[in-house]
Parts: sequence; C-alpha cells; structure tokens
Amino acid sequence: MNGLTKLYLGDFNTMHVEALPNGSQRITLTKDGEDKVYRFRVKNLYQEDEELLEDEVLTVETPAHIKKRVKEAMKDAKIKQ
Amino acid sequence: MPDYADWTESIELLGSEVMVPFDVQGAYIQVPMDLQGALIQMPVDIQGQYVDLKVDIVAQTVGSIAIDISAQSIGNLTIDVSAQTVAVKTQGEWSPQQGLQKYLTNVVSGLTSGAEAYTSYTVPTGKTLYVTHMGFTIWGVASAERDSNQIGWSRIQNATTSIDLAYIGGNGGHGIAFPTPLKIPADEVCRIYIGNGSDHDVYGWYSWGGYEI
Repeated sequence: MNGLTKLYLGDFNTMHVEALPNGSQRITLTKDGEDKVYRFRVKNLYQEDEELLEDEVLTVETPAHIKKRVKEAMKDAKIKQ
Repeated sequence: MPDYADWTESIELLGSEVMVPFDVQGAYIQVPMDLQGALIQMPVDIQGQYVDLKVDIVAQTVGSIAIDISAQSIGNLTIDVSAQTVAVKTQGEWSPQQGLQKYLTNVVSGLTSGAEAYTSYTVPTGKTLYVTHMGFTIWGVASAERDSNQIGWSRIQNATTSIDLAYIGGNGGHGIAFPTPLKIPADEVCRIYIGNGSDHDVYGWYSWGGYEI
C-alpha cells in the first residue's frame, strides 16, 4: 500500500506536510506498530487533477547500538527480556 | 428461531408488604438470561419514596463491564471502584492506546505578509475526526527580522461546509486545547490555515491533533 492510499484510508497516526516552493506537498505518514515511513510528494492534493509525483516507503528501525545498550541496561537491572 | 408454542406466565404479587428474596448460594452458579426476539421489552421500573440500587461485584478479575447510559441529564452517577489497578480514561486519553490518535504537522517557508497557507485532510468514510488541540509558530525568514514582532494566526475550518471552527492568534505563535473537541464528520475536509500578520516574510509551523474513531 502506498502513502497516498494510506492517507485516503486514514490509516496512519502522524502526518507531516511540507509545502514546497513549486506548489507540491511532501507528505510523510507513520503508523503505530509499523516500522515503515510512507513519504510521497503530491500536487493538487484532493483536487480533480491530483498528481502523485514521488512515492517511497522507508523502513525505520532503532539503531542496533541503542538496542544493544537498552538490552545491557535491562540485564544490569535484572529485568526479564 | 424454531416455531415454539406461545407461552406466558404472569407473576403478579399484590400486598401491603411484598418481599421476593432471591438468594442463591453455591460453588458454581449460572443465571443466564438470554432473550431473543423480534421485539424485546424488559423494563425495569423502580418507583419509590426511597430507592437503593446497589450492584456489588467482587471478583479476582472483571473482564468487562459495559454500561451505556444515554440521557439528557443525569443527576448523580456514582461509581465506586476498589481495585489494585483501574483506569478510567476520557476518549482523548484512551484513543492513543488504541492507536486511533491523529497528529498533523505542517511546515511552510517564506509566507508573505498578509498571506495564508493551508493543509487539508479528508476524513475517511465511516470515521469521525475529533480535533482536541491546535497550534502554530512563526518567525522571520530574514535573520534581521527575528527580533521583530511575529504576528500570526491559525484557524481550523470544515472546508466542506466552509465554516471556521476555531481561531487563534498571537505574536510568535499560540496553542489551544479544546475541552469540547472539534468534530469533522466522515468524507468532510478538515483544513488548517496559518496566516502571516507581520510586515515581513515568515516561516510557519502549524498543527492540529486529536483522534479518529
């Protein structure tokens, strides 16, 4: 599913919109529990001549070194993982 | 439903003093009441000079208690819960735990004096958007203007009906929370504007948040 589809379905929790000088908008959507960021650029959003110019889905993840430190901290605190 | 014979048994008790104690004790008790029918009426009509209606529940685990009350006014509703953990939350607090929160943030660059920019969001079919807060901030594009007044405004509009729902304004920015959330029905457009009331170009950030159910 691409970002524009998710927008129309309301299938997201955060939406960031950047107005670009050429009149298009760069929109970024995220949803709880998904390790994906949906980023797309669209012109004339919601208009009859709406045009999807760019579309990408990025995978995001907590950096491995941070996850490792959290794991070590939990181990030090004797918290079951 | 199978075609059973009609069956009626009336219980009518008349007396100056009537007591119908219903006391059940046992290791395992079930009192199911399953009513199925095209029309079911089950009035509980209590009228008296003095009424106590007390429901006591003692259990290790209470899975779910659903009480749905719809009334123009409720005089007094007392719920006394004694538990090791209990959570009573408003919809606004509860929604993020259910993954129903919505946060919209927007960035605009070089907004000229007197101009507005906006972002729209169409509420999906079958959903309703409730906006609980909004805010904005602006500052001068030119570094020489950043110590100047940064007058701006923001407004939320139902763009389908063209009705503005809320305005805020300020020097540098402002934010507000709505005790009564702004409601945008399904298929209608929630539009947030930012405006520049300064005499110079500004950057603007503006946002709303809430939940969609």
